Amino acid sequence: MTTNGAVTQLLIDHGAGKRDALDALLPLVYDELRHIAANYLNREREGHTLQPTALVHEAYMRLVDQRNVDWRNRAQFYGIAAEMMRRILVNHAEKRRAEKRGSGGKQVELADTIAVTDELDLDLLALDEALTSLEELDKDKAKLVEMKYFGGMTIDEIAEVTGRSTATIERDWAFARGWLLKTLTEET
Amino acid sequence: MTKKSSDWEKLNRIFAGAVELAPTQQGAYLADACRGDEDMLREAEAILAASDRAAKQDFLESDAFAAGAKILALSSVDDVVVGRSIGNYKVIKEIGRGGMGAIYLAEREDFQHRVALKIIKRGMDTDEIVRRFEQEREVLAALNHPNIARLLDGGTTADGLPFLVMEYVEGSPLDDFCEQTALNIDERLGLFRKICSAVAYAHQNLIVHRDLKPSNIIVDNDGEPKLLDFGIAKLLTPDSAGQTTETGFRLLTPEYASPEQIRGERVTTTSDIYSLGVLLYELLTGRKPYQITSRNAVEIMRVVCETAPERPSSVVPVSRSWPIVETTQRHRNLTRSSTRVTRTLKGDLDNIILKALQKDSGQRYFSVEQFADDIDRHLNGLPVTARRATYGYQFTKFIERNRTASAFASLALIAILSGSSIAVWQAVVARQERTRAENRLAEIRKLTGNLVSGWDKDIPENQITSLVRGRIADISSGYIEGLANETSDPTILKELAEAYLKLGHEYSWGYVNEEKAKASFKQAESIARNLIAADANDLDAKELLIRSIGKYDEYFGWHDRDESLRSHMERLRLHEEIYAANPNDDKSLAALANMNNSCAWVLKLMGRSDEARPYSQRAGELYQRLLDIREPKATTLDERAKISTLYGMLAINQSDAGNLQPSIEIYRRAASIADTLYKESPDSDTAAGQVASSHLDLGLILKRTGDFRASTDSYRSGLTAVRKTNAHVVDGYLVVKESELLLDLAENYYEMGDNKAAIDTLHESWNAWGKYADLEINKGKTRNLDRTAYNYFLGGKLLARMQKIDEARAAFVRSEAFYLKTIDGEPQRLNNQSLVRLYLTMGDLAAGLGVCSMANSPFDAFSNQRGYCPSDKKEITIKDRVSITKAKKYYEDALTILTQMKAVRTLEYKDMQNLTAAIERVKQVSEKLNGGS
Repeated sequence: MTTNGAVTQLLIDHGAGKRDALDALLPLVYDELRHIAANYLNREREGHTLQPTALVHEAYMRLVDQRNVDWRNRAQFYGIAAEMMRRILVNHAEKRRAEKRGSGGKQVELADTIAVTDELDLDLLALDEALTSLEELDKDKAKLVEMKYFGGMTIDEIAEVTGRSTATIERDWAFARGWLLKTLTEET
Repeated sequence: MTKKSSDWEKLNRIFAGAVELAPTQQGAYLADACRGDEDMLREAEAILAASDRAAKQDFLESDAFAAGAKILALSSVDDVVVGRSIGNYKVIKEIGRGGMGAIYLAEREDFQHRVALKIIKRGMDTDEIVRRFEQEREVLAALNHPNIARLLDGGTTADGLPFLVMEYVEGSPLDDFCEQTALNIDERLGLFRKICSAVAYAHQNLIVHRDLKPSNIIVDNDGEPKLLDFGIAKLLTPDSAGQTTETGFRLLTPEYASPEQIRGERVTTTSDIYSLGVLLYELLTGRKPYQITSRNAVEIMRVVCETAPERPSSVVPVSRSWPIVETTQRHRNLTRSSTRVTRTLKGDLDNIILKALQKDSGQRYFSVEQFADDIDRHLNGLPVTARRATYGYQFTKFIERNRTASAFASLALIAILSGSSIAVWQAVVARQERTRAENRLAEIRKLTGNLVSGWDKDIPENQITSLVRGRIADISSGYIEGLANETSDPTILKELAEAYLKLGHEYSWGYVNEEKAKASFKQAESIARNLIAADANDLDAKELLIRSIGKYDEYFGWHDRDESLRSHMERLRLHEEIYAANPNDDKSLAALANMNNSCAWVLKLMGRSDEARPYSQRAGELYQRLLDIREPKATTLDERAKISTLYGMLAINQSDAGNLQPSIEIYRRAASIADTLYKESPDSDTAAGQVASSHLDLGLILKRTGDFRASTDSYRSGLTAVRKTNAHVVDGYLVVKESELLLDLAENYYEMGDNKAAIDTLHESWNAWGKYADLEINKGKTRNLDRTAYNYFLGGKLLARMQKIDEARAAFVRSEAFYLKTIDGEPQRLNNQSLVRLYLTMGDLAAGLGVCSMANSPFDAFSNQRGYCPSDKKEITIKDRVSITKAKKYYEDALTILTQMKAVRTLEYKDMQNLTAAIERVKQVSEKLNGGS
């Protein structure tokens, strides 16, 4: 067991390629993000806007011992947060689709959030599928899309946490976005 | 990891080349690049076109993150119903319901701990109710008393409804309990005394309960009464004291409410005394003093405010079925036989109750203690005497005095306004304003000065609770703000900024109020910035700005390291400017050197060691420059002692940079200067102190290099000097050093294999410190108690390393006792952190005995972090199970404290670490317990 924060150690383990570290890490990060998101949402109601990186950064600062990690761990952390957002949204979209199909007048459980994924103006489930295909071809680009779209990070921020140049990130983003749109429009 | 195919990589390269070009050139480029590969060409063209389209239609630009965050935040929402989870609690059943919310029995999910969960009903979360709810939480968080149901946790559900988690008290309301259990008079009075102690404690924290009645007091299965429901409690703040009408008639319970409450007048602690009088009346007679049958306001007012209650003794015989009648009779017989008692029981109790029930609050007991004391006196047959006022009462008086003072000031102003011509008026007002400002400034200086130096010598430090400090700070804050708006005089503004800084410190200290602390520092900052904007050469203002943002960073920098770094860099720039303006001022140089060091430190914390290096290097150069300037000029003892300190700083700088050997040499230089000073002036405290600290530092670094022998020599040199001084200095302030030296020395002996010397030295350390802490002038000082606790804690760790298990446990238990003393009146104090650390360690010790052989001991050197010992025992004996169970209890204690802390403040990084550790360890020992059966 660890003497430093478990999250920090898990993050380091995850970086070192230990598979089960991520499984242990996700619920911890999930809880923290949920907590912070709830706070932000309250503040948002008072007129502040939600800054994705601020939220993730806050979670990172709370959970991780900065002394024992380096920028790669930070990139991983942001990556994990982005991936989590993707899962959350896709799950939600799946539920939503099931509800629409069921349409037996059953009480809808997620009344407050019902319109959230509809507002995104995008078939999240198809995007998720296309993104999974992209992952098979090019893990880095798929991760980039995850960070940019689901993680809400800017090109600069992604460049910073991944240690690559903005020019590279911009080019990869243009490519990945084109590839995804092409894939989505071809298939439907 | 998927291997990228070479086609895919080629496609990427081609795309990368194409996007660099103008659209008109792309076709030719693609054709050329994909020559001979039609598929590649089609693919590249399609992606390029799609990429263009994507940009035009903002594909993947919608705010998915915000949507996700919303889902995240609102997940697990909905009305509370049984079976759901709120926070870490699973709701079992509803146990109560009030106007604004409901109370549920709930259970902590991870370790089956039952709690009462109070939550605002959906739709009832209006600002007013939420505010009151938050207030109850604030009130409860400040109260830590065995007869008050404790606040365990609190929070906001995902959809923003606040909830409180309180100790669940299983038992019956006071009146039911009395009816079910035939208690005699003494037992009833005993119960009542406990209730009094809880109310008195609340009053000491400036909280008036306002709704004392049997149904708000639950007697648990052990017969302990617990006070519940501070839902309409009032904080005795200056602003609330001024309000005439409070929350309205409907929040009263007429049978127990005082006349002033019924009339909607100002409520004070004496209102609770009245309600306690009603309670006692009912406890002893089985009847209430007034029979209120009507809910008509006028009728209630008439009965409560105008009619006199019957004497309790005349009521008793009426009700034959009342169980205490016989016991009263028995009691009378008993007491009559005693010649010591001169008054009859009847007369005393009647008088006591009727005094509490006086219509005029000034005629009642003025404190609960006085009330309770009279009951004790009655029980012991002594006559009633008046007692001195409680702290809460004195404080209330203090507020009253100050309010009058400011009212006078405004009256004076009005007089001037109405009586003078415009011209005179202006001149007078200007002068008046100035005088008034100065007067009020003096007041503020006094008040904030009090905050820092302690309130009053008569009141032990540990009785000034964080809440009280917070209240005083609130009052100061009001004054300062008022004045800040009135003046533009730079001198006064600077003083005000100083006051804001003190205030900020006050709010930060013990986590009284994080938001207000931040606001105070920001106010100081903004004053400083405005002054600099008005005069860019105002060096004092720059210095003020350094301290304003520096203090903020000191307390809250850990929230956001990037912000902290910005703060450091700005301060560095300011120090550079100040130094540039005064290149001959070596104080500015010293400050600049220290600042460079801090910048290096913060960068290192952020894992940016490469960037830290130049700052660290510059700090080293500046220290050296400073030494070059100061050392030749240093002649007096004080100046030379400072040179020694400065060498110490340089040595730290060098050891941080990894230059261990040079660092040791510099430490030696610092120590040798101190030694020389001490040789020249053996009677000087300063010299002795310098010897102690320089040798402590030198000893520590030698210890780190493993040279225990040299380290021991160094500690001994320090010890000789400091002991000689402590022998003749009355308050022995160097004892801190003495005990530190001895503790470190003890550890060295252990490292060198001499366990006996280690234990002897450890005891010497404790004795030295104990003598100091016992001195009359040091008694009751929180920081001394704290240090005592810490000494036992470190000693305990050393003993544990030496496998002296029983001694180690004893040391920890003593440490605990002292920590508990320090937090007695101050549940929010930082000491909680120490206590958490102690409980985790005590748990480790117990767990170590149960789950691993001590060869695998979890205990390490003082300077290192503990580790939970990995279990290596195959067989678990009954004795092991006992140890593991104990360990679990300690871990759970740590967890409970952390949850309480979480209810009142943002958890620091260290707390988060401890929280994770505590949860982890509870889980581990639980698994061990379950698995080993």
